[in-house]
Amino acid sequence: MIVLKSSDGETFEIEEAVALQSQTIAHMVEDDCVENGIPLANVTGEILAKIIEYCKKHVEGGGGSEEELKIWDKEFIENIDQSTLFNLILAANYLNIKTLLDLTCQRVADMIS
Amino acid sequence: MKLRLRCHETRETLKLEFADTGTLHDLRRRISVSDPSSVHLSLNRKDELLSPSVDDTLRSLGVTSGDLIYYSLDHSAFVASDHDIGLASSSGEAHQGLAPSGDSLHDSMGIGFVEADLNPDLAEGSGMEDAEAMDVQEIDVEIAAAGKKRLSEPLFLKNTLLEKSGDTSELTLLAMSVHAVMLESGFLLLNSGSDDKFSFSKELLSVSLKYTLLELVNPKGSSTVESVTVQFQSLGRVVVVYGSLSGSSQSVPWVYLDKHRFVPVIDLVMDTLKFEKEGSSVFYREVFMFWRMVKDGLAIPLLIRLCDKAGLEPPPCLMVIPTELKMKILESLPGVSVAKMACVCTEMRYLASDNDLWKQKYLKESKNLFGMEAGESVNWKEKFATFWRRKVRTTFPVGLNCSRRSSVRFPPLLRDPVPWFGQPAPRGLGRRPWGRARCNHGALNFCPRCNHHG
Repeated sequence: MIVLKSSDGETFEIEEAVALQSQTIAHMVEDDCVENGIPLANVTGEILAKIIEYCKKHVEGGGGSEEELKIWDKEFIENIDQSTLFNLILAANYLNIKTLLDLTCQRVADMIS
Repeated sequence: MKLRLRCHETRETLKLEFADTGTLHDLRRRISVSDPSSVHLSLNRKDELLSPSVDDTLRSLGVTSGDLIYYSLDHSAFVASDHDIGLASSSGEAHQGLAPSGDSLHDSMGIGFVEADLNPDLAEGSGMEDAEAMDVQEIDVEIAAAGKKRLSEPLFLKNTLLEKSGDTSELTLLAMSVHAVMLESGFLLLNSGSDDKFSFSKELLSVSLKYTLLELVNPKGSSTVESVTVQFQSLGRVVVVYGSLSGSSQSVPWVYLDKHRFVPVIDLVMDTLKFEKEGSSVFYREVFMFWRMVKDGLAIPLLIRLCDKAGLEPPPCLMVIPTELKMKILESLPGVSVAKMACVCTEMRYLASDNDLWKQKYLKESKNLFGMEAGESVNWKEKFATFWRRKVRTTFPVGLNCSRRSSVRFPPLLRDPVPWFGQPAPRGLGRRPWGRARCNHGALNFCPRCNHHG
C-alpha cells in the first residue's frame, strides 16, 4: 500500500497497482523513497481524490468491458466544473498519468469546438 | 519534532516537543505517566494509531513534525465505524464526540466542509463568538480532510441559505444561491451590514451585490477596493444574473436562471437534512447543474477578470496550463476551431500559427495527398484557408437560403457566403481567456489572417 499526502494535509492510502498508473509515483517507488508516504505539494485533497477515483477504475483489468469503461470515463469527465477540470489537467501532468491527461485535454477541446 | 496533542473529549490541545526517535509508548507515557496503556491515540479520530512493534519510532508510523494527534483514555474512542457524512443531520454520531447542541452548530459543520481559507469571514468567527464554535470550525476542517467532498456543494448551499436568506421569495432564494457560489469561488461580500440576512422580495427592479477578494481587502486604508458587482434582474420566469468589473466596460458574463427549474430544487436543499450520495439522483444533478452554470458562467469569468485587473495569479483556466498542454489541446481541435482560437489573444495566436499544426490539419481534413509535393516551406495555414473556401463554396452556393443552420457546425451565413480573408479589422478584441471568439470581419467567424492585437 502506498500513502499519498496532498498539499492540504489529507492522506490517502491506495494499492500499489493503482498508484503506479502515475509515472511520477512509479519512478519514486523505483527510487525507493516512499517510506513515509509521498507528499504531493502540487495537488489538493479534492483533486487527488478524483484522481484516485479514476486510477482505481482504470487499474489493469478494468473490471468491465472497454465500452463500459468509456461510458464511465464520459460520466466522470462530464460531471465536473471547469475549475476542477483544469486542476485535473495540471495534476495529471504533474503526476504523469497519460490516459487521464488525454481524457481531460480532449474534454477541453470538445468544450472549445 | 513538535507535536500537538488534543484530547478527544475536551478538545484541549497541548503542544509539545517530542524526540524524533520517540516511540508510541513514550508518547503515551508523556500523556499519562501512571497508566500509559490506558491512553489511546489516533490521527484521524477514526482509527487508533497502533505500532506493529514496541520499538517503532513515531516517524516510521508516518507521524511528522507539526502533526495533530488525538488522545483519549476511553478505549472505545477510536473504534473505526462507517463514517457517514450525514452527521450534518440532526442525529449527530455519538462516537465523533460532538454533542449535538442545536441546528446552528450543525450548520457550521457543513460550512466547514470547504477549505477554511475560502471562508475567512466564517473562520474569523463572524456571528460566532463561542470559543467552542471556533473549535468546531477547526475540527470540521479535519472532518473535511477525511475526504468525501462530493456532498459539499448542496451542504454549502444549504448553510449559506440558512444563514443569509431573510425570506423565501424566489428572487432571494436564487440571489442567495448565487451568493453561495461566489463565496465558494473565493469572493468576499462587500455590501455593508453583511452580517444581516438578505431579503429581496420587495425589490422590484434589480438587486446588486458587490464582491472582492481577500487579497484585495486593505484593512488600513479607506481607498477604493477593486471589486466586481453581481446584479440580478427578475424578468418574469427568468432571473438574469450578470456580473461586471468595477470601472470597466468590458463584455459582461451573464447567466439566465429559470425560476421554475431551480427554485424547487433549492427549496428542497433547504429542507432536506441528509443527501443521497450517488450522482444518479436527479436532485443532486440539478443542484450540480445550477452550481456549474453559475460557477463556470459567472463566478470564474469574474474571478479571472478581477485577478487580471489586480495583478493576482488567475485561477485554473485555459491560459494557466503549460504551453505544451495548450498545444496538445489545439492538436485535438478541428481546423476551424484552431483559427477561432487564434483570435482569442496574442499568445493563442502565436500557438495557433504553428505551421506544423496547420499541416496536420490540412492533411487530415482535406485528405489531399498532393500537398506533400513541396518539401520547402509551405504556408499550410494558407493552404487550409484555400481548401476551406472551396469547401464552403461547394456546400453553400451563393443564392441559397442561408438562414438554415448546416449540419456542419457553421454559424448562419447572412451576407457573404465567402469569408473575407484580406484586410484585418481595425477593431481589437477584448481579452477573453476562454474560447468562443467573435471576430467581426466577414460573415464567418473564421479569420486565419486576422491581426487582432497586432
